[in-house]
Amino acid sequence: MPLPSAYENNGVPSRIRREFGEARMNQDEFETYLGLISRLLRLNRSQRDSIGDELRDHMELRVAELINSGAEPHQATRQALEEFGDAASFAKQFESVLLVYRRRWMMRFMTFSIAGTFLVGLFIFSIWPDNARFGSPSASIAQDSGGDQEAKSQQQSLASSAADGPENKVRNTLEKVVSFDFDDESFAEIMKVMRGDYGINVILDHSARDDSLSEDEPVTLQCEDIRLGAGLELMLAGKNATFMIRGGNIVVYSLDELDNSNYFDRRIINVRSLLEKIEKFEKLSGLNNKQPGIQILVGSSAGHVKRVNRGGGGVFQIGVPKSPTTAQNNKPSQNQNDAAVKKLTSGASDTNSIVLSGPVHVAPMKEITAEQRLVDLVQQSIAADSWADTGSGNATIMIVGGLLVVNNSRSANDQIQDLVNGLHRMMQ
Amino acid sequence: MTDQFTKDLMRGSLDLMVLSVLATESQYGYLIQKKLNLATGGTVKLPAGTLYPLLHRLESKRLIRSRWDSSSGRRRKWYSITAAGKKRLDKQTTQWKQYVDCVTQLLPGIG
Repeated sequence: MPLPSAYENNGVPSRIRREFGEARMNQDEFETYLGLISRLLRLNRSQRDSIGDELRDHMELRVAELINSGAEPHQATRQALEEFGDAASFAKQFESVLLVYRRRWMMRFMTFSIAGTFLVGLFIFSIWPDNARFGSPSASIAQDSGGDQEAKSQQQSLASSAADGPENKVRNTLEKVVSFDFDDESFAEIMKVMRGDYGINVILDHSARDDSLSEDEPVTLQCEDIRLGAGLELMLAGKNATFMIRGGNIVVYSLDELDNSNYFDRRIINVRSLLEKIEKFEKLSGLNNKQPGIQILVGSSAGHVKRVNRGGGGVFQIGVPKSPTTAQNNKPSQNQNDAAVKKLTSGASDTNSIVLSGPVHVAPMKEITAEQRLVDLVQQSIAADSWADTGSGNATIMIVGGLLVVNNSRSANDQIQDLVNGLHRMMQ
Repeated sequence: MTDQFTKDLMRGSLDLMVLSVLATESQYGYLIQKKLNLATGGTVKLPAGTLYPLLHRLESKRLIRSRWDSSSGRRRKWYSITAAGKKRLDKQTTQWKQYVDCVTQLLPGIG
């Protein structure tokens, strides 16, 4: 039987025959044979070593067996090599096996890649602000997504209040956009629709009844695409009535009771990030320090200070100084100070041109806080007469820990909520 | 039955024969070749160039597993059958017997 061509090409048989004695193979020749297989199969060093050791063991055992049975070493070697087959056919047999290994490795790689991509996607989805279970700083939301996000965050903070639970549900329902087509319908019919279509009980308060609004009162309202709450407000305004939300119900009462604190609605609005924006905005624009004097504090002696006017600018304190860091060294009389104050107050719009005749102490300005600015804005722009401290009503407003707490009529509180939301949007 | 089987006849049954040799104990390649040869009275001569790719293929299918051992002073690769290999062996043995019965009944002068 002729030797396989692969061996002939590499000269293996002749050299092995020469060097093979006592069942020991020539390592160099066998490495050449393995090298050929490795190149055909494109094996790496580890695979080549593994297959080489296995084949070498087989070859040596076979040669030893043949020698033990009486064959000459060179004959034994030749026969063992012939039985082994040529490198090309051996490599072809192995190729399909290696293909299985490579295919399996590819499948694993793809599986891990897909799983990894899926997990990364899942992670990004879970930390995305809209989906975050653990929440994220409200300021970040506002910066990323604008004022609507902030307003949403406020509504969420309201919704999270256990005390406001039923009220909040009614508020959400009142935000629905609806169409009204009531033509001389009785108010009882309106109450029936509110209960049946929207799940809200409407109760007529005695003040409304006293104001001649009864279940039989005919109501007319025809409009499209209006918020349910706004439509109801519009409908009741024609009957000199309005409504509040109490215990998950809508209570209709007379507009004459608008200042009655018994009908007030308590609203808590998160304005923390809005306050930060106001402060930041004022720092950037220098409103609090660089504008002409707006706030003037006047006192006749230390410890007695009266606020004359206020605004966004500096503060002048006029009085008897304890330390003489004054423009003039002359001690002023009380009358001189009073005269200066009168002059200031009478010409408040022209504070830059004021000339003080007496010794004037210019004290460090006391800045108006963002909280005070916001409260002032609300009190001046919404239901101005309703506030207890600045108007003639009983409504109260304060900021505690970044939360605006308001006790006013529901409609006033709705306007305040809209104002805060609008400020958020505008100050982006 | 002194003649060697043709390749076509042996194709499809080599896996079964190798698994059968490994069913009782661990073996290395050369020993598997010898046992097959002895068990078949010299009619099945599995060349090394066919045996080792076959062993690696069975291992890639996890029907057999391998381990290296140097306790005898020589680095040697031992093969043993896996649980999946035993199942496959049982299944193929049953099929093989059914197949032989079918062919036996069909062939003239045997059935």
